[in-house]
Amino acid sequence: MRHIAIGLEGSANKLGIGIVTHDDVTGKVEILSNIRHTHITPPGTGFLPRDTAAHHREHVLPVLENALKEANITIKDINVICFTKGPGMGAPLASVAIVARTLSLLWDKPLVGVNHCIGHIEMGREITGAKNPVVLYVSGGNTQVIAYAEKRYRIFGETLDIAVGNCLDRFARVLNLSNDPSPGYSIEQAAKSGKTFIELPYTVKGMDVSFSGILSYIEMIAQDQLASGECTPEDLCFSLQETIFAMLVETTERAMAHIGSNEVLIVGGVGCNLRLQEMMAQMAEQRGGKVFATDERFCIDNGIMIAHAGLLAFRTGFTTSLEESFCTQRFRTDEVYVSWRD
Amino acid sequence: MESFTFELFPSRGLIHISLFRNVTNAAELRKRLLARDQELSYAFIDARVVFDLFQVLVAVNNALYYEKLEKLKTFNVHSEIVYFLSPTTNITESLRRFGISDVTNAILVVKVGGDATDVKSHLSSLIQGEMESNLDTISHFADLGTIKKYYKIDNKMTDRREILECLIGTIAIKPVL
Amino acid sequence: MIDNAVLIKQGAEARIYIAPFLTRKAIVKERFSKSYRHPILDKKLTARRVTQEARCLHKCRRSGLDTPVVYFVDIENNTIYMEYVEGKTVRDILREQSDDESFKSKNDEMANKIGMALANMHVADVIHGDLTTSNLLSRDPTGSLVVIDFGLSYVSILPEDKAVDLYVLERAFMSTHPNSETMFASILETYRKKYKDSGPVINKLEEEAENEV
Repeated sequence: MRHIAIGLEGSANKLGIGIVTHDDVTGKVEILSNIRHTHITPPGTGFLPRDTAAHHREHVLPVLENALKEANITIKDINVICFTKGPGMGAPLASVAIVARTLSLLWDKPLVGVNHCIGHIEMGREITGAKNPVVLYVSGGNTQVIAYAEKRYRIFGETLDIAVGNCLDRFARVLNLSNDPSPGYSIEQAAKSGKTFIELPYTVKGMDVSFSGILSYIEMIAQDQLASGECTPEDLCFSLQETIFAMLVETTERAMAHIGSNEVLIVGGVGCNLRLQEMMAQMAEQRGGKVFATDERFCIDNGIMIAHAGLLAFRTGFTTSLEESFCTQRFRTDEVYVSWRD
Repeated sequence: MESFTFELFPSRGLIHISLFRNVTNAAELRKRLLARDQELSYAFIDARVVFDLFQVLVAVNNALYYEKLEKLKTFNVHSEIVYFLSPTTNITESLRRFGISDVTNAILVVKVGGDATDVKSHLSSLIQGEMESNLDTISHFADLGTIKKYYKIDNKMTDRREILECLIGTIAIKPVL
Repeated sequence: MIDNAVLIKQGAEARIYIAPFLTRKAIVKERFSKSYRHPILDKKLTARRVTQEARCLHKCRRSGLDTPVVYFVDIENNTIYMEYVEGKTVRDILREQSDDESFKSKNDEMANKIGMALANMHVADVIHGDLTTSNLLSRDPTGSLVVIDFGLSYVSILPEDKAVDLYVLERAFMSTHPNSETMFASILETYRKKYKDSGPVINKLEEEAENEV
């Protein structure tokens, strides 16, 4: 039997709607459409919840229309409507969830609320074919080292303060780098021409990391040394990436060693960063393992991952009632019962 | 006398350690040491501050290591052994506390390199006292009160093994403190 | 490396050997450089960790915690020579158990020892930095609880840092030993009793737990 799910995502500044099918018999997963629209703010500024929600409201109908058109299906083909329940920013989450609820009532289809992080993990596993990897989930709102055990994605390590993507985004703002397509991308490009490595704090505590001290420190250096020409913005981007990515690779490796796994999957927006992927690959190679990563279509927030993870749960009998379909800004990865895995 | 090879410094040859009791010429030896008498290229250690052979081996190992790195803090590898037995970085105090004094009557001697027979006969001519046949009696001369004071070991600590492990660690990490 | 050294573990950050050393049997922990790290960062980090590890091991021992004795620190080669401790990891001990009741009193005793060890360590202001059940050994034949692998340890007086230590261990318990909540609770109980300034640490730990919900 063929199942079709539509997924709606809007937990941060990306609005995404995607349609996916699962085939019971062949086990095949097929992506029918994956449409995204991003709320991009001017350099030096970040995205605010209210404006982001307004962006999502403004674009959700055209994005939905495009997704349906590209998938070339009719409404009656759809089995389930999936939406991001959390974690994320409250107003943007709610602005998209209300659309999902409306569609559910309008089309008379069941709802499935999806944990955003589980969406990333399941999509990453599907695209890359990684079987049981240690997962590094890195984005603007999350930094977690995760491994599956007994029906849960368990968090082995995480940030003790801000997310790695948040650290990068905020530093991009300090340097007035472009937010188009993303501040992290601008930092990655600038880092390529960095020459001098500037020593920054390195804060790993077991499998946990901390970025806020590094951010304040490099902001201070930027203030003191950029004007005087002691270092360049490129040097700072380079040093920041080298330092914080080394921390991420180190904690990931520690988790791999702890559970005896040799596969690592990188998901989340920061996972697009090729330098991070390269460093992770070097680590994996040193221990005879393999790194799996996806490109921007799946790394960056999208509707497909929500549809895919939602459909996995739906096929085991899970649905979210209208009463339970509220959003939650805090929604831990390990709260989800992973009924679809052994 | 007993002779040892150190795993990390095989090229340094044998390390000879011997123990003398009823020594009567400590004052003379000390005087010659202070005059940098080349004939006395030995580490002369006051046996009262030696709790266990392993304690000495750890200090010798450190001395050989810093000799190899050419980062000796004192005159030569032998004085460095005495220096490394001490927990402090104060050289004068280290040599005074762990080296011999005019009244020392039990001495532990360490010699880096050389032929065992030669070392033995030279030491017998140098030191007026009785050479112990082996090092098993080393702890008989130990003065626990002094050792605890020098290594700042809590008086409540009474277990011999625990005390020993504590001084070993202290000696071992001295260079990285 | 010593001629007859036997490699027993290739870890994420270090190779561990057993080797004869100055008449004893020793563990030799050699940290190696990481190709993914920038060379400057790598060199500083490795050297800093070797020094810190040796210092913290010793600091703990002086304050009465059972840790491997340091024999020698080879700074040039990022290697620490230390006591070989005969024993089993808490992880293995717990894994070998079934869920049945007969293990309850044994586990209580173990929890008590772990709580005491953590209290001792934190009284000395040492933060282990990587507390897992693989880094806790039961020494043969005394059953003394030995804390090992101070590779990520540092000195801090902050209750936050101590709380993170406990939190890291709690998660290690939960993620690798399902249904170990009661055991961890009794570890905390002993810790609280034996460490008189544990109040702020426990508060921080509870705050952390609340943040999760």
